[in-house]
Formats: sequence, structure tokens, C-alpha cells
Amino acid sequence: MRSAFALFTRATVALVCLVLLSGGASALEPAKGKVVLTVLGKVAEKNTANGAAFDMDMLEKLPQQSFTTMTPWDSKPIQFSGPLLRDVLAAAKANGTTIKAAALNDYQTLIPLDDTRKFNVILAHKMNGAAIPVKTKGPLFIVYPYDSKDELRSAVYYERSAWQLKSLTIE
Amino acid sequence: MPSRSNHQSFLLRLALATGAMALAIASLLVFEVAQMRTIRQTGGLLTDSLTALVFQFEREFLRLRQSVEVSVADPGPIDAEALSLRYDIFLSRVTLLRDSPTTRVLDQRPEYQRVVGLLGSFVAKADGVMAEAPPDRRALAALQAELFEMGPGVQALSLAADSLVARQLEHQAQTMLDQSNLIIGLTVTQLLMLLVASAALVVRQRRQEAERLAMEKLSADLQEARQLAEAANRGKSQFLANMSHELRTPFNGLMGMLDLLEATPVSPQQADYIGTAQASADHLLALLNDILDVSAMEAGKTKLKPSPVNLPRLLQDVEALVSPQALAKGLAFTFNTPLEALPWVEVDATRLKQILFNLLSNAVKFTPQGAVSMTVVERGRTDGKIELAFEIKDTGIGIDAESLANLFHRFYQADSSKTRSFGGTGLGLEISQSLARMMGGGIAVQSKLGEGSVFTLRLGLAIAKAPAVLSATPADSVPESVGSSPAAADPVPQRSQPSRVLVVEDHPVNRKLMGMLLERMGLHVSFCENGQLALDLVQKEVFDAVFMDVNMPVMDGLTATRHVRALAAPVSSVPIIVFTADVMDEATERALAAGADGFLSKPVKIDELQQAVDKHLPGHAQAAMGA
Repeated sequence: MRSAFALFTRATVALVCLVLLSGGASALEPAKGKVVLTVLGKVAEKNTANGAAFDMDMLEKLPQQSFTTMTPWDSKPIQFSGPLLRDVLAAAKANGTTIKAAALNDYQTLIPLDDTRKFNVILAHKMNGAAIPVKTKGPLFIVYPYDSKDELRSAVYYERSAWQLKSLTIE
Repeated sequence: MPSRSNHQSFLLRLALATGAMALAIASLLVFEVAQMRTIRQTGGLLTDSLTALVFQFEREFLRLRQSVEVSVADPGPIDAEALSLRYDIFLSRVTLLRDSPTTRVLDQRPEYQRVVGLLGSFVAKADGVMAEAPPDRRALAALQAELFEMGPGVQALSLAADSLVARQLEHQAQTMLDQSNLIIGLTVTQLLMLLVASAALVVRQRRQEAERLAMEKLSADLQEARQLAEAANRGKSQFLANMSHELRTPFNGLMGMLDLLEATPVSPQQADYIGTAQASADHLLALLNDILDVSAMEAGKTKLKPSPVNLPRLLQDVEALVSPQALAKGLAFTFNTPLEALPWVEVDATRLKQILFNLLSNAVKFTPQGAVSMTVVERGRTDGKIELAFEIKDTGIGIDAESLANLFHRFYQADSSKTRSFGGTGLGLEISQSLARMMGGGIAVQSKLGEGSVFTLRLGLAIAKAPAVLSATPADSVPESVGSSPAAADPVPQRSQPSRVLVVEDHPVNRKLMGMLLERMGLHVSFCENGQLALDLVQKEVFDAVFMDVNMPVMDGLTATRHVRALAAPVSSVPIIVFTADVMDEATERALAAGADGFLSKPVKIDELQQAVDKHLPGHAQAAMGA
């Protein structure tokens, strides 16, 4: 009797959980593959206890952008592809003023959330059409369209261009 | 001109200074541009921080070395994934160190070349070790040893990058400093040039001001000199007029005495001497009159007094004056004029006579033999006006072309050598021409040397109505200076009592002369020396007439006349005849305005005096003596 009640209780909890999960499925599914990006802080859409976790598949499903630009880190122009940063943040329903970007090598930089609205900043996962390994600044790379505007070719924006990106914390 | 060349050199200097300034500004601009380019270039080079890049590399190098060390030392299983991530991050740093444009400035540094060389062999080895999962612990130990070996080189690279950047910054600062110094130098130069230019402008301005003042002073001096010259000229004219005037007073005495002397019993030879003296005196008087005329014209004091004139009578008067002169010289004188056709005209008779007499006298004077003629031609008659041409023709010496051009100019006579042989002031033609122009006409001349001359006076005159009753008086009533026709002295019934006249005259000779002339006319004469005495006398005694000089001490004649006129009747109505050496036209007017009944000009001539006595003392017994 007691075990039947426990079973019932468990079933109920599972059902509730299922209902809850299926209700959030329209917004953000849990990551199925290896998590490449975590969006923390002020996010309304979470698929983990702390925030929104994305695997490469989820990022590739967002609308993709592509542009070619010179960077200070290479002598040749490079084509970058990936979702717009603002789309990624929208997917996590991020709401704040500043993004703290952190990289695998513990590099940290602050990006005003306004930047994502003013410029077509992308979260590149491809360079010249190929996935980016860690040893060439991968797997994710915040890229501004430097060649589109003079003001973007400055240390301010170069500093905000975090590579080997690991997480974004919305403040 | 010195000021002009000064001006030009000043402009040149100004242009040079401006050009130099423009050059300075241009070079300043070049330096500014260069500086801007330098700043841009450094900005481009430092698009990513070299020190940060090298520092990050060193950091990842150390972290990898620590991970490898931990994996080698830890006896447990190796965390292959974590180690691989560390290695990949390290690799990304190696790539940046090798390929980033930022590290290009390090290319030639031995520290950089050494580290890059070591990294090449290490990565080649490590790639193989890391490819295995988990990596072989012994191989890792070998890598660890190699990493420790590389340590000092990596640190040296960091220091090299640091010193390079420091030197670069120093160099940039120095460059900026140099350029700033250059800019300051150029600016100071520019400032100095501006100061010099403004100083030059000030100097120029002062010099121009001084020149202007000098010019003004010169102009004022010239103006003053001109005024002085004019004043001197006026002074001379005035002196001439005064002298002529003053000469008339003693001359009056001289002529009067000659007249008196002529009337005394003299031998025929003495009479001839007296006649000659009289002719000389007449000539001298004519000269004085000419000078006075010119002075009056120059002073603008000459005024014409037109009145209705019987032209035929006037012409006859002139003929009467001239024909004796012509006959005396043995010349034929003809007067071809239809007198009855000529009307009465409005003209100043005295002045018209003066012109004609002058032209005819000249014709007689310059004609040694042959004939002189006067013809009056009517050139046209329009509504109330008549155009007349008086042609005076002679067969004399004539005038050459050159002299003809200067004929009407002052003091000019056809030949200065002739002046002596013919005499005269040389003023006659100028006076005649001036008078003719005042009358609205002019005198023209045609002549050839040796073939005689024709002088033509042309006048346009208003036709006047003849007075209803033709009087027996002369054509003009004003006393004449040129000469006058002898008056017809009609006998007047005698009176038993001689008339009493008062002569007021300060000059003793003239007083004596007037007294003798009037006594010879049968008058009883009293004398006094000035207007004040005259005023007293007329109130004590009864006079039938007063002869009053004008210029006298104490009280002048005109003032005395006015005082007499202001007295009670009958004294106030005593006839007063003013006589003066002042023959300006306005003198007559002033005398008449003061209340005078008659006017005589000095030197007083017997016949004029006789006329005045006849007119103003009609009841007086005429002396039997002829003038």
C-alpha cells in the first residue's frame, strides 16, 4: 500500500515534470550533445539549473550569418559564420545591460548588451567554412564586422572579441 | 622719385615676407600630416598588444607545463581531456605568436627566432604524444623536460617584447617631441615674421604720414606765395591808380596857369611856346586818363551809363576833333556816312566817343601820308536793335602778322622802337577793346605791313526814341575826359552886382588858380581851406555858389555838402559844384548823391568851368575875356 502510494507519488511527480518540461520545449530544449556555451545570470529561459546551455547543434539551428573581414590577428581576410549574438541571447531570453564573456583560457571581457543591437556581432563557429578547433581560437569566437565601420577597428572592440568562448554571464 | 622706389621696395619686401610665411605654414602642414600618419601607423601596429600577446603565450606555456608536470607526477589516471584542452589552447597561442601581424616586429629578434625554432620541434613531438589517449606517461616526462628547457627562452622573449615596446614608445615620444619642437620653431619664426611685417607697416605708415604733411605744407606755402604775388600785383595797380590821381592835382595847377598865361599879352613867339606847352599838357593828361581807365577796369569799377544818344551828332563831334589833327598832318580825312539814316541809340556816349577817337587818333598817328577815313555801315536792324560797323581805314604803315596777334594786349605797340617815335601808353587799344566788349561788341583788325590798316568796331545797339524837343545841349551831359566840343557861349544879360562865390580847397596852388579863373569871369571870390570852415562861412555870408574840393582835412567836401543841404533855407539851396581829381565813375555819383549840383574833374579846364558858371549862375555878368 505504502509502495503503491510511493509509486503513485513518483508517477505524479514524473508527470508534473514531463508537463513542465514539454511546456518549456517550445523555447529551449536541453542540450543533447557536448555543451559548448553556457549563458548564465539574468536569463529567463533556462535548460539547466544555472542557465541556458547550448550544444553546437542548437547554435547551428539558429539563423546563420556570414561575413568576411580582416582581423588584427591574421594577415589575411577571413570568412566567419555563425548565429547573431543577439539571437543567441534572445533564445535564452537574456535581459541585462552587460555581458561578461569568459574563455577557455580564463580570458574575461565585458560587452555592453547594446553592442548586440547596434552591430551584427556573431558567435562564429566556422572560419572559412570549417569548424574552429580550440587550437585556432575555437570552438566559438565573438566576431564584430570590423570592416563595416571605422569605429569597430579599435582596441575597444578587439578586446571584446573573445575567442575560445566558454560562457556568457548576463548582468 | 625716392618715395616711389621706396614704395616699390617696401611692396617687394612685404611680398617676400608673405611668401616666406606661406612657406613656413606649408612646411608646418607637412609636419602635421607626417605626425598624423605616424600616429595612424602606430595605431595600426598596436591594433593588438604585443606584450599581451607574448604574455598570454608565456602564461599558456606555464599552464601546459604545470598540467604535464601534474600528469607525470600523479600516479593516478591521466585526465587526457583536460590535458588535450590545455595543449590546444597552448597551440592557439603558438599560432598567434607565429602568424599574428602583431609579432612581425619581433621577427628579427634572436629571442623570438630561438623560441619559434624550439616550438617547431616541440609541437611536432607533442602532437604525436597528445594524439594518444591517454598519453604515455614517459613520453610526457620527455615533453616536460623539453618544456623546462624552453622556460628561460620563453621568459627572455617576454622581456624582449617588453623592451621592444618600451623602446618603440620611447621612439614615438621622441618623434612627437622632435615634431613638436619643429612646430614650435616654425610658429615662433612665423610670429617673428608677423612682428617684422607689422613693424614695417608701421614704419611705412609713419613715412607716408610725413610725406603727406610735407605735401600739405608745400601746398600751403604755394598758396601763400600765390596770395602774396596777387597782393603785390594789386598793390602795384593800386599804386598806379593812386599816382595817376595824385599827379592830377599839381597838373591841374600847371594847366590852369598855362591857360591864364595864354590870356595875357604875349609875343607871337611866346604864344607859340605856350601852345606847345599846352599840347604837351594835353598829351600828358590823355596818358593819365588811360592809366586811370585801365586801373578802373581792372578793379571792375568801370560802369557804362547808356542814355539816348543822337548818333549823327556824336559822329560829327568826333569828326570835329579828329579832322584838325589829320589836316595838320597833311592827310585827307573823309567821313562817309549817311547821317540822316542813323537813328537815336541807347549807348554810353562818352565811352563810344573814346573808342572812336582812339581808333582815329591811332590811324592819324600811324599814317605818314595818304588818307584816313571813317565809314559807318548798318549791318542789320531787327526788332528794336541795330547792328553797326564803324570802319576806320588808313593808308599807314600797317601791321605785320605777328604783331597783329598781340595788338590788343596791354602796353603792346607794333614795334617797341616805334613806341618812341609815335608815343602813347600802349593802353589805348586795350581800353577800346574792353569798352567795346562791355557794350556787347568788339573790335577787329585787318592789316598788312606797308599797306595800311582797317579797324572795325562792331556794336549791336538798342534803338532809342528821339526826345520830343531837340535841345541844344551836347550829345552827352557828363563831363568828358577825352575832350569836349567848345560850348556855344551865348551872351547873357549883364548884372550890375558881381556874384559872390566861395572856393573851398586845401591845396594853395589850386586855390590860387581857381580864384584867378573865377575872378577873370567877373566873380567875387572868397576862400577857405576845408569843409568845416566852408560850413561856418556859408552861414555867416551869402554866396551865389560854392566850388567844393572833395579830399580835404578836417571835413571833406562831400560831408560839408551834406551839412549845407541840411541847413535852413535859403542857405541850404546854394549851388554847390564839386571838383575832384578822382575821375572814377562812382565819384560823380557820390558827389550828386551828397547833394552837389555840378561836378568838375581836375585838372579844371577853363571852358568846363565857364559852362558850370553859366549853368549855375545864370544871372551873372559874363566876363568879356575869351577862353
